[in-house]
Amino acid sequence: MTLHARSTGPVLLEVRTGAWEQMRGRVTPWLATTALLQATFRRLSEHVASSVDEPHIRDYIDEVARTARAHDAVVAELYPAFGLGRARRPVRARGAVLLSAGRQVAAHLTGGFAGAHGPSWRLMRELMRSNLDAISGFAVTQQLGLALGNPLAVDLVFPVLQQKQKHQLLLQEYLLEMGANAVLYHRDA
Amino acid sequence: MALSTVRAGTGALSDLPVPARPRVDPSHVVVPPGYTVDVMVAGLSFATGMGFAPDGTLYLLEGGSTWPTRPYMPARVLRLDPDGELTEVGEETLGGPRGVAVHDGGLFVIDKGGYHSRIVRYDLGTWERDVVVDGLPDGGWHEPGGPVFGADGYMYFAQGSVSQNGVVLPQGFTVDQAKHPHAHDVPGQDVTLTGHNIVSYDPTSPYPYYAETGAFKPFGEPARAGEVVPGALKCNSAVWRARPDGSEMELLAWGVRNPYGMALSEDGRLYVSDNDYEETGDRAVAGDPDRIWHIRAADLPPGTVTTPDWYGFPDLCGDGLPVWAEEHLPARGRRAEPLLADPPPWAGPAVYLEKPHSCMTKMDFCRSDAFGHRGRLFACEWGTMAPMNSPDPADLDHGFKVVAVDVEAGTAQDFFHNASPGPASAVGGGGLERPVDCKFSPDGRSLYVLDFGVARVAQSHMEAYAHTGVLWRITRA
Repeated sequence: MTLHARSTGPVLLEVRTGAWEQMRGRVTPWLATTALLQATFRRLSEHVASSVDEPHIRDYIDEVARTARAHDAVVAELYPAFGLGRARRPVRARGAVLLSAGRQVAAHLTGGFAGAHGPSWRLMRELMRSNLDAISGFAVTQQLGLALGNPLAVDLVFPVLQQKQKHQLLLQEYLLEMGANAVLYHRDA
Repeated sequence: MALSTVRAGTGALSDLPVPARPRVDPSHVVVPPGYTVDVMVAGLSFATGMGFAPDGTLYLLEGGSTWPTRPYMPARVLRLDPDGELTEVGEETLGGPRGVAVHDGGLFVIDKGGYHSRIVRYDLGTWERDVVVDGLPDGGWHEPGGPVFGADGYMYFAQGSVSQNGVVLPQGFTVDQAKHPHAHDVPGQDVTLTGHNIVSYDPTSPYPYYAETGAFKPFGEPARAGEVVPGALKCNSAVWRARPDGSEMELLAWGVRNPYGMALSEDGRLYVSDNDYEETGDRAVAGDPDRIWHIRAADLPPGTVTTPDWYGFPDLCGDGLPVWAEEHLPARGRRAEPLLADPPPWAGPAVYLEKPHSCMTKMDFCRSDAFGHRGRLFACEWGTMAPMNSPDPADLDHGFKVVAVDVEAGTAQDFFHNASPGPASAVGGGGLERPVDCKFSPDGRSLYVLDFGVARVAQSHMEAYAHTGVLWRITRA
């Protein structure tokens, strides 16, 4: 007798409707978190861009802010990509406002204690941290797409991650570039 | 632990909820006349190996962190009972399991993960878990192999190299080496180095700092000309045997780049599959064939191997030519230079050479007349990772099949494959993706083929999708 002859039809592991829908449903709160983190970063980048005096750095941060707005839109596309319909509610605007404001306060406080003068430089530090948070949101979303066998979601996120990683290097570079001036000469950008 | 499973009609295979692999269709695969194909399991995540118990129970491994290393899915040991029920019997949480075998009341699982691979034994009666072999140097690119058990009662196992192509380099930082920055290759014999080091960009440092790295060194540590690196019992790119409790460990061979597949013939000879070098990066090698080696030292009685055989890594290709030979100079990447000043005698030639970038994986000998092809070595070819690791368009569709190898003649015939070369997903079909393991059932009538699932490879990166793995069964009608 052939092994497994008594079996009639294949065994489906986790891809039956109930289990699969349960896992897919767990993506929703993570997408909401990603939306919040990205919106917070976007708001902060817009604020930093408007406060930097040095024209070259201002232009670069402007570009970061413009790209961040495009990345906000990608989050909204991820809901249908995961088969979750449209986004349940608009990006948590109030939450993003609060988080962004909180990061600005933190920037001034920690920067002041560290002896760094100049609001723009302190905000640059917070912008770097905020971008890292947003990267984590998208990066985990990518993992969820791979885990759920979803190339569409993965393809949406991949270019966002590439751009945000480049921006992270850029922000780090400006932080370092401005650092000695800010701490030793009390100069801002 | 309870799994979420359901037994479905075959119609369910044409409407799976996984976008990367929405259907699996046995009518889309090709086998020789007189054989039938059906699907036993669908929805596996990064399946890496399997092994039968004598009663027909089949143990399946989901590898956790595999190829590439993310996403990291549960690294589960599953059991498919003879009546077709699928359950979870264990989880190997560090990295992931790669091979499994049942022997004398124990379930032996070899794991990759951390700086060292290991073999664990689950007692099939109590499910008590013990580590029987540990300390195999890993943390890098390649895989542990086996375990397989011989009629002599010994356990045969293997461990691939840390470096991709002989020196730990930045392309390795896309995978485990970001977590294991001190990982390095270890030779099986004392070797003298040429001192040729590779200067590369250092991805662990801020902006563009450089690192100089030598053979058998962690990334960023150079070697000196004339430096002697001592060999070790627990080396890598290596093949061993030991008692099932891990005692009497004996090094049989080293210099096997990725000995993932291991199989013992009916007359007790040990064969190991091996993968070619990659044509990319700062030590690139072109046109290196995949291969199967006969590990001749395994023919000797246990305890009598005083010097392990050397199969070429890091300086020879599968055809025995140096990696810097004209035939192997790369069209992409930097050419290789010698690393060993005093290479040991080469233990080749291989019993079988396959097209480059076929990615040979696990194998099994047919030992029964019931299936036909008795004596043939059935070998999985996971399939190419071109264009990421080769610029040659000819390499784009190598592999993605199971072949039946005649180890005496050095020839093979395709046995299980799609109608057109490449994975089914390339043409939107329901056939085979990437076969990773094949095992004959204890009754000898069927060949089970474990299909890893969908892994997409682009010029700069690759992605693998969970829940796309399948267990196929091929039976002689």
